[in-house]
Order: sequence, then structure tokens, then C-alpha cells
Amino acid sequence: MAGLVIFTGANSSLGIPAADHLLQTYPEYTAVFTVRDASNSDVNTNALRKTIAPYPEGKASIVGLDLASVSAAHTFADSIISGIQSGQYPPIAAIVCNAYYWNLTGDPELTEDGFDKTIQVAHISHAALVLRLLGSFRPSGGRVVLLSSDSHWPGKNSMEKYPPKIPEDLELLIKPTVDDDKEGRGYQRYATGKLAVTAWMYALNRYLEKVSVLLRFATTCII
Amino acid sequence: MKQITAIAVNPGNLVDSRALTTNTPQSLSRMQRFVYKPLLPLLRLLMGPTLRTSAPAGVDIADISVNHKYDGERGFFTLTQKDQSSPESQDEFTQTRLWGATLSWANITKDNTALQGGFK
Repeated sequence: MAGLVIFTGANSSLGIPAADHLLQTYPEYTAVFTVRDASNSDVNTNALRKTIAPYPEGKASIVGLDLASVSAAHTFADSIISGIQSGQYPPIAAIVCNAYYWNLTGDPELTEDGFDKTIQVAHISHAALVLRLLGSFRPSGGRVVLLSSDSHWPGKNSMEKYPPKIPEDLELLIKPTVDDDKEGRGYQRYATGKLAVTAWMYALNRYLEKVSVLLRFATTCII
Repeated sequence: MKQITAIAVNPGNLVDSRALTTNTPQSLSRMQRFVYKPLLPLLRLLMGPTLRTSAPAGVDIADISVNHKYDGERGFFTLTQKDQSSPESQDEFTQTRLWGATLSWANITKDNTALQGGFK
């Protein structure tokens, strides 16, 4: 059974060819592509619009979602849930967490939620999105695809100056200290965000599999 | 919910990514323009197939999202192959700490997620 694919940061360098390939190769799916700025003045969103234009109307839509706001992620999840309930969208087949943010030229920036923006966009808001929407997948299930990077592994990426690390004190993850080395620390925040996403993936799978086991057990017990 | 699987993917190092010219110092933009992009074929010989452009990476991500050959797959992928992620990412204590903190940061409660088992 096909379903809905939600793809964040869809106007990125990777997002645009992904959108094109998805709609061309898997026409049975419906897509909601999210972008930070869905207006006509965003050149990358316009490029995404142009890419999806040739495909049948109703197969794909572009929705504004700024992951620098946790409440925006929740509001978006609400709209997807009600869209599925009303039949506007089919149930979810996949959520692709592609959007990112980095700043290699300045100090850590805090969002309205009080978290470092790099970490929030990479991980926190995506986690909110995924956890809100797990109950809206189709009965046959589907996939949560999190974009990671070799940067999550210390020493693997030549851009690294300071290795990524989940700090003992998690407050430092969401409120990093300020440093003179903007590029080095900015990249470290990005890499640490990817490390967080990767580690979180394993925990998510563990909880998802527990549900699977519980349900199988429940089924076999009903004799 | 039982057949939902999570995958974290390294899509490669994307030499033509706009990220390299977004909130980056000029030196990085110049590296992209004068080194990464023009010398990609040579750099790939040295660094391997993870060094590539965004287009094939986008194709891979779309495939990984919906293609049936990835049904039931969980874990870490590099390009389209199952792979090991870092030791720290695989540390269960780190994962658990991060999971709990993330619920709080993301305003997730038992009332707004179907994943009831994720709470202590």
C-alpha cells in the first residue's frame, strides 16, 4: 500500500533531486515537502516548485515549517494528523528528516525554545515531529529516515577541528558555550547534532521493536 | 506501529551542497568552487565513493524511504549499505540519556505520542 511521504528541508541540494526521483519513480505515493520559507521569494523553494510542477496535481505539496520552533513542529504534526483523518492525505509511509541548520561564522544561536539552533533543527524538532506522527503510519508500517553524516564519528570528516561529543551535562548540548573559533565550533555543533540523531535512532528502534514484540505476544495469547 | 523502522543514513559528502556556501566563511566557498567541484573525479579516487554530488544522494534517500528492498531494515547506513556507526552513537547509556532529555525538550508526553513504551 502506498502512503504519505513527509520530507523536511525539501528545497536543499539533496532534497530537490530526492523529490524529483520520489515523484517519478514512486508515483503511487503522495508527498508533503516542507521548507522553512514557502513563500515565492525563496529561490530554493521556487526551484523545488519547478521540480514538482510536471507531476500530477495533488501528488505533492510544499508546506512551510520552521524547525527552529518546537511548537511549529507540533502544529505541523496536528495538520498532518487531521489531514489524514479527513482523507486529504493517505496514512504515512515515511518521514524523512533532512532539514539542517548550521552557522560556521558566528556564535551559537538560541531559538525561541531556548535551544541551540543547530541541535534543535537537526534533532529536537525532528524528534517532536516523528513522535507525534508515529500513530499515523499506515497499518503495514513504514520508515523514519534520519539524515546523518560521517561527521558524527570523530576523525572521519576533514572539516572537523573539535570532535563531536554528547556532553555529560546535556544542558551543554542545548546551550553550548561561546568560543572564538566560530568555524571549528560551528562545525562541532553540526557534527554533534548528527551524533545525537544517530544515537537517538537506536533508541527509537528499540522502543518500536518492543511494541512489535508486545503485539505479537498479545496475538498468540488470544486462543 | 509495529512495522515502523528507523534508519540513520550518511548520504555521502556532497561537494556541490549549498550548505558549503550557507553561513560559512569565504574560504569554504572557495574550496567548493576551486577544489571540491572541479577535482571531484580525482578526489573520489583518493577518498572513495562517499564523495559525490547531491543528485545521486537525493535519489538514494528517496529510495531508502520507500523502496521495498529496505523493508524491515533498521540501523545505520552509508549511502545505501548497512554500516557501523560510531561507538559513542551505539552506547546504550548515551542513547537512553538522550532519549529521555529529548522527550522533554520536544514537549512529548504520553498524551501526544502513540509510542507509550518510550516513557519510564
